[in-house]
Amino acid sequence: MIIFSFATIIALLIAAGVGLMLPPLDFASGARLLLFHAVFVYGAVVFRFGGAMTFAALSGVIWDLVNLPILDDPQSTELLRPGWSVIFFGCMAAVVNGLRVHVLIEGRWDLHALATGAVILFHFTAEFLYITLLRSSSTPPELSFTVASKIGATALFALLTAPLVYFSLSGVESLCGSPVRERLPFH
Amino acid sequence: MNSRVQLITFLFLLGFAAMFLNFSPRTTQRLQAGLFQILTPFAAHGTDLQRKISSLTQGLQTLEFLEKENEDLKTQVAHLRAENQILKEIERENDHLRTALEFKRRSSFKLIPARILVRDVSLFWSTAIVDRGSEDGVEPQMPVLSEDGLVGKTVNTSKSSTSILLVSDESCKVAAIVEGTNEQGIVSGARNHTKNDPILHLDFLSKQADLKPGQKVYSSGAGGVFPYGILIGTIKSITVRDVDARAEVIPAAALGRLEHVFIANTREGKR
Repeated sequence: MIIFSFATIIALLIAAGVGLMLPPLDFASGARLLLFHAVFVYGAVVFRFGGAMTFAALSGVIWDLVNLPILDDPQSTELLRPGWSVIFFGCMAAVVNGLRVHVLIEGRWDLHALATGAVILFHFTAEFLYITLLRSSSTPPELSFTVASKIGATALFALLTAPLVYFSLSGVESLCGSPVRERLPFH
Repeated sequence: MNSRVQLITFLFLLGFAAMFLNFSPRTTQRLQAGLFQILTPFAAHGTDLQRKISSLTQGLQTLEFLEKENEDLKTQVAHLRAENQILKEIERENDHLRTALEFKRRSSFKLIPARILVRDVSLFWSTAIVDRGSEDGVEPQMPVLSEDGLVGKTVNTSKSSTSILLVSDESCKVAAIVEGTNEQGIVSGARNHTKNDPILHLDFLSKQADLKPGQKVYSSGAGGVFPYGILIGTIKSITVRDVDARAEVIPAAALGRLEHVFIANTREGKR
């Protein structure tokens, strides 16, 4: 279990690194190809509630450190504070953790993919609304076609690539002796 | 696991988030720099990979040394164009000062060439990561230029990489002056534009401002980060609002296609 836990954390870091490697998709309004959320969803499903929360906290920290510009300027109030993603990933992990029997025992990789797409949709919509609120430039927030298509395309690409992450991590889990599934109820 | 334990676990998570939210920016920047130190090799390999794929598709895959030579020459040309741009600005400033019958010495700066490793790290922030860091003398809050004009400013540095906030980001604000006028305002990015077609806003202009599309916008030097006279962009249109006027500005630098930039070390005081 410890080896598998480390493996998922390394997978999270690799997913963050791959996210940096891949350029934005200019033909899809600058959407990005992200594997990070698929790894997060897998971790949130595979661990018990406490483990899922710890994994969510780690995911939030890594996500914010990689993605948010951090200015050392006390007057700057327009940027998101690093740490908000911890709360977001925590809430998402609490919800997604309820799917563990379906995803792990029944092998519903499609549920994992759908959950990944949904998490991305919620994440970036929440981030956009949060930025709009911080900058209070318009009420209601102007969710333009550009922004909506950027979020939608990112979610779609993540949904399509999520099975790759699912089967890769399932393979790693099997290599580690599949200790997680054995502990599940109804197994 | 019963729901009470789950609730307590969730409260622990909220406590952790609250602790992280209260970290000072400097502490968070140090953590970020440490993480980038781990992830930068990924980005560097990714950039190399992208270039290789790109040259393959364009049928330009040549011998490795030719590619490298071409790369070096490109960097040199970009460097010279950037210097030329600065010299033009100096000439313009000189004329301006002569006209005003006063002379003040321009503070010069050293340019550090850098290669873009990653652009647009996230969906809503116009940021990039370059391959120069604190080891090369880069510090936070230094202006970043291309041969065409202002690109942005440095935000956080690790040993070998630096994250840049592009001028097209809404939170990157530059004090600006319009060519041939005394009109001053603040330039910042617009939120809803695509990365390939960024538009900047020049706000807080006077309602009586007599501006025309095509006029150039330069940094005014106020605020301390961006020196006077760097070309930011060209006015596209002007809108008069209730209390002020706003101009839409097309950035001079090709922000969506950046490959090389120059970090201006304004603190060293020599070129």
